[in-house]
Amino acid sequence: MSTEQKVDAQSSPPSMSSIAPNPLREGMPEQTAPRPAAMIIFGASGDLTRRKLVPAVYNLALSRLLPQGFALVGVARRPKPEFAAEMRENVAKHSRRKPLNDATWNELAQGISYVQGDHNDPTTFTKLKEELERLDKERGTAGNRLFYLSVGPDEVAKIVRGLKESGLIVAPSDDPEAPYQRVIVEKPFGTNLASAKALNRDLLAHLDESQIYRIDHYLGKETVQNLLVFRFGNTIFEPLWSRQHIDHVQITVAEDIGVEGRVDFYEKVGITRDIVQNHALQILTLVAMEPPSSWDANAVRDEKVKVLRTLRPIRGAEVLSRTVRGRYAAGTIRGDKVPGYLEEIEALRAEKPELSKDSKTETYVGMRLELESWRWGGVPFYLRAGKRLAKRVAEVAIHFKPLPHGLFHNTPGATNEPNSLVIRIQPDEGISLRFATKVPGQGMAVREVAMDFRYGAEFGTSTPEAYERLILDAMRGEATLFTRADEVEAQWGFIDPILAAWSSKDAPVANYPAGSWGPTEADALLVSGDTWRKP
Amino acid sequence: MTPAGSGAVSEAVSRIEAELNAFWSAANEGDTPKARASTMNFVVIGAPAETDRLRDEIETLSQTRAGRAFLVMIDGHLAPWEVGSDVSAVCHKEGDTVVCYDRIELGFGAIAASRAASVLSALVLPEVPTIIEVALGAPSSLVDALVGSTDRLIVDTATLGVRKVAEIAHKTKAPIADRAFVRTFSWRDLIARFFDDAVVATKAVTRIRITRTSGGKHEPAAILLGWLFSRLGMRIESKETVVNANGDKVTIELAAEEPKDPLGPGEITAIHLTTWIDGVALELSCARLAEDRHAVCWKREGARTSAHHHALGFRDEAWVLLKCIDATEGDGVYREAVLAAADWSGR
Repeated sequence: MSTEQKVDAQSSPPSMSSIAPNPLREGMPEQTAPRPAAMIIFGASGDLTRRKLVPAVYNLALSRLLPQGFALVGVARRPKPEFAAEMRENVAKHSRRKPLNDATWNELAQGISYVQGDHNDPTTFTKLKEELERLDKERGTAGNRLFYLSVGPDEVAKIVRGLKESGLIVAPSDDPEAPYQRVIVEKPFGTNLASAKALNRDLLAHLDESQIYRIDHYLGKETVQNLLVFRFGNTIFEPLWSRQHIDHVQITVAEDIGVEGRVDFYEKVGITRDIVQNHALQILTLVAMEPPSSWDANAVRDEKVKVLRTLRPIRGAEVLSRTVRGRYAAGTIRGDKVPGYLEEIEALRAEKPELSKDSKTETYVGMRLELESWRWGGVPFYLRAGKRLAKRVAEVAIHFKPLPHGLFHNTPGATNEPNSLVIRIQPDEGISLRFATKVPGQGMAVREVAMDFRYGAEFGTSTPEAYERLILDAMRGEATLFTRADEVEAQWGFIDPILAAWSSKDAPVANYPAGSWGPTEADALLVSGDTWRKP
Repeated sequence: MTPAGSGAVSEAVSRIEAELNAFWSAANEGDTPKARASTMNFVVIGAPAETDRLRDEIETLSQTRAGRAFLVMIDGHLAPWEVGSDVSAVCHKEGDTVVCYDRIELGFGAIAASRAASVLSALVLPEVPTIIEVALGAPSSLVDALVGSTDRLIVDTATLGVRKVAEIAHKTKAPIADRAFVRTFSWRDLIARFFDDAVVATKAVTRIRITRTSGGKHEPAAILLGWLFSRLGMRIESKETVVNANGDKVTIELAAEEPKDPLGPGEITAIHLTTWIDGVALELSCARLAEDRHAVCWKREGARTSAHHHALGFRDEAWVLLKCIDATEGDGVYREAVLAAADWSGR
């Protein structure tokens, strides 16, 4: 990383994508390293910037993964004359690696600057352009820009338009040497199909799809990526990965916390929009997709979209039989008594009278999904997500078919439980396979045991944060772990009719005590003989 | 080898196996089962004087790449045919599970050392790779005995020298990683950067000058030179002269300066290259700054003109070791580099 100004800059910028390969780069990880670039964060005074983005950038610097000449520019309305110093404090507090390494931070801080301005004001973009041109000259960023829009969904289109009109974004070129401009967009990508389409339309009016990086941080998690390695990097599982051997699949995204003072936000979204439309459906696509032809972004995303298109729609009256929405009531979690969701609303109503005591917002959703494909026909995918559930856990449980013949049916200890494979996404990331084994001894007794792989135990606990991977990928132009426009629309295309049926039919909202595994009504979603796991 | 000797070694192996079995078996019905963390077998061949440092290294490594670790040495206190051992384990709780990794220290008598490979093959976890590090003071008898048993070999040319490592490379097809080569990463990256937009100049280098502090045990510039020679297609004619890919003579110059805090002996302080683009000279230099020895001035003059200051960065030896284990993308490049370096060094 450059730590001082460039003395003279007549030469063209260095590039890793030269057509003639540099023989000295052979065998270096930098064969795929990003080119020198400036990362510009809109919403630089926000919580995400403080807690996640700048710590992620710092950790990339600590791992020497940032390109030389990297620059970071914050943009926000508030004046921040001490932006770099403020970010230093945040990194010290929120970085996964502590204590803060002064040398690395000082290097990074050389390239940190701040532009104060409102993105509704064209002069903000003029100031930003001047700053980026200064960085091009002094740090050799050469017109390469990664814009991170850490702003509300209503602001995205305005900023993109401002960037385009000010000439900070130009159409991508076929020339691999040409400077790049990419835009990372944070979720939510709309609140329904119509708004998602409108957002995509607004983005695509100014950007090429190849310049848009829609970020779902779940895809940056090691264990989510490992789903693909597990399935397609091993020979033994994929032959079992179909209706021939799998009885059903359970996907759980559970949190033990409630809405944590964000009642007004939650009243607008509910857990279906907050978790299911994006994270949970992303996991589903990775579990169910066909092998892609390569790790290329479009090859992977094509297969994910196919899964979403094979989801049998849930519409009209079926919504009530194949989904259950719920709301937590008062209960006990980890020994603490906690209030119910309606009580939380009630407590805030004096201050925020717009909150309705008749809220129908769901804090839990359970669904029975069906995929209309040769691989998955007849295999139920049970999906549940909830707040104030018994514990925080995200996992995929693959339940295999029962034994065709109970050879050990009457054997002591035999439970006739079929094998199951559990992929734990968080916490305690890992993979566990349950199978029967003979208890040592003269007789024949059977016991269920688990073969357990734990990421933390094998590789330590300091795995990179999702944002580190995703920011680096965006700089490298690797879009595999980002969501494509058609993917977002396919997700909303599936969710919209469910939301519509819940509102139009005044569907019931089942109560569940905080600290439980959700409403008992969700049991009715299960095919006879299946039960919800208690992770 | 006498039968009695054979018995002593196999008894030692049986004793270790029994200790491991006892540890991994639940003592009582209902005991919390132990889960084994096993990404690899990590074997360090070292010298008794280095024991404490090597134990620390293993402990640090285990926190991010847990597995079965072996510390293997010649123990002068043992009878020639004896094998001494110490088995221990480190456990911690993760939720309801107790996760453990074990370590085995093996001391070989002088004669028993020739059986080290056989002992190791009996004790390694078979389903994960075996990575062997040749540490400072590693006895040749053990290195020679074990070098064929590894999936990856880690060396340090700063302590072994490039010629010794080249000898080892001829004895094994296993990939080799070199701590010294990893430590030069910033220098190599900065040199490569000279040519990112001037690839044609890689064939036309006519002068290489490396300055280093004096006093290193082995020539610190050797591995860098070997890397340049092999990557740039240069043919070695003598210690001072090689021929570039265009058939032109390349002058090799080595300069020394006195070690001075914060730099110890044998550290690179500057690299200068002369090359040509369309008949115009291009002078490239990367030299530590007088005011900050952990930063360099990177400069091009002539056919291209630009200059930056860069921090060289600092990574401790735990990081270097992890890179040696994980960064496999440069294995082929390194093998060619060390063979070229040994060739140059032997001239």
